[in-house]
Amino acid sequence: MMTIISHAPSIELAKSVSAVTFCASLIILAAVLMLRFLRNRRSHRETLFQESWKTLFAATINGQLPPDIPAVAPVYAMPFYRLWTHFHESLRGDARERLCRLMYSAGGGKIALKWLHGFSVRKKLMAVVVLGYLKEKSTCRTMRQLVRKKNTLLSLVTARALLRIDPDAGLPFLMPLMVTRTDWSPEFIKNALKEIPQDALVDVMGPAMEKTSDSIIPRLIGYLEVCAYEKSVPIVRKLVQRKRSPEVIVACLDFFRDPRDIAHVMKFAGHPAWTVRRSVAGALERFGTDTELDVLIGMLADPEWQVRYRAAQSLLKLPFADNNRILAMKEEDTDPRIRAILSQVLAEEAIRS
Amino acid sequence: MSDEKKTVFIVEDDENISFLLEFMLKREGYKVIIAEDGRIAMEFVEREFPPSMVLLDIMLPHHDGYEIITEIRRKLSWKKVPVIMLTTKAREDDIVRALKAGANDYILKPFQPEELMARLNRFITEP
Repeated sequence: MMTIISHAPSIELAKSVSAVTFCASLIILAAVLMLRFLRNRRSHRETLFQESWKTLFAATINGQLPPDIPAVAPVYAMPFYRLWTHFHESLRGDARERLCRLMYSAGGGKIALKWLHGFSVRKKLMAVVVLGYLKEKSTCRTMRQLVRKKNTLLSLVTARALLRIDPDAGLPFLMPLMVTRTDWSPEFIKNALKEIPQDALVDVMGPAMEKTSDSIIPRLIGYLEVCAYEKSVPIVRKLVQRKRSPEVIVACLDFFRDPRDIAHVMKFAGHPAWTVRRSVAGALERFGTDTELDVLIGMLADPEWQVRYRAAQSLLKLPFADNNRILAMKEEDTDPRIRAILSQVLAEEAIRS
Repeated sequence: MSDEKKTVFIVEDDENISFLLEFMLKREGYKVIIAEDGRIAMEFVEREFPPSMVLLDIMLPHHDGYEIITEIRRKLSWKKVPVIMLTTKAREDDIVRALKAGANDYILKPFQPEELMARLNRFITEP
């Protein structure tokens, strides 16, 4: 009976399938183990490589650039660049210049130039970062091509490198892209703009704002925040006088911090768009003056609750605000909307304190 | 500097930065002790004798720099040890918080090695 069953075709097929599956599993397991082994070995070698270079980096940073710097083998270029950029980003002043000299002495600059023109996006990204820190002007032409690539990360990193290499030439070139590349992170751009001279930024941003569409201007006003207020506010003052779009006016009003701009703000206290009126209430809080207190109190009766809410918050946060006076105002007022919004902000304040 | 080496206690989770700091300080003749996270630092403060100086990062695993400095200022034997905070945060609030917690000074990252050494030397040589 047993012999008959063992020779049944379906049993034979099952045996074959299980044998093949078993062999395939073994092969996959061996491949996984091999890949893990190779990865660990590479990681171990990279760690050893970085450990051996750390002392050289530390000596260089402290002004003791050794005369016989070993050349970096291309196979170790990636861990070398990682360590180098880490130190470069953690330090400032002369230490950065010394690190740049070390990079050239070790032949890292040449490898980065090769990678810049290669096919690997990973290597290209690293090359762009390194060459940006080295301020390698010979790469500007290639970088101007890379910055137009659809790959968001590559184009952003390249934009930052271009600004590092030559801010005077890089900024006018990049400004149209900053306007049109909606995939570029505003925070990333702001951080890149922080590294360039503020006067150069203001000189380019002013004319750019005049030419660009209203939908883009609020984003550009956000970039102006990286400059000192005194340098950037003239551009915003011009805009608020000329533009009619509520989005642009809101961005301008949200920018103002100086009581000297109170006239620009007050002009919009009765604007038909509630978003603008809400920004007026916010600006009055930042100015912190008592001259326009009546305007703020008047806004408590605004038909839009968001304006009433912002005005109530501003009243409470004014430096000379007196909670008892506001409480009395609430008790005395006959308008239920004013009483409700003041009750709300007073309750929030009570929770916070 | 006297024959006995002054000790600097570094609390920094970035091993490359702590390596660099150790290199710089040893070159100046200091003895260096490193803690790579808040828990190790807290244990060290709890058990060991006070060093001459503490370089303390704010952002750390387990316990942040504020907690550690509070502990340092609470412990009688460590109370007067000068502490320099290392921080990547340039926000005024964080600096004020660090100084209120008892820090003697702060260094913002990215830092200038020469500036760090000058500030550190000032606290150690002029207690």
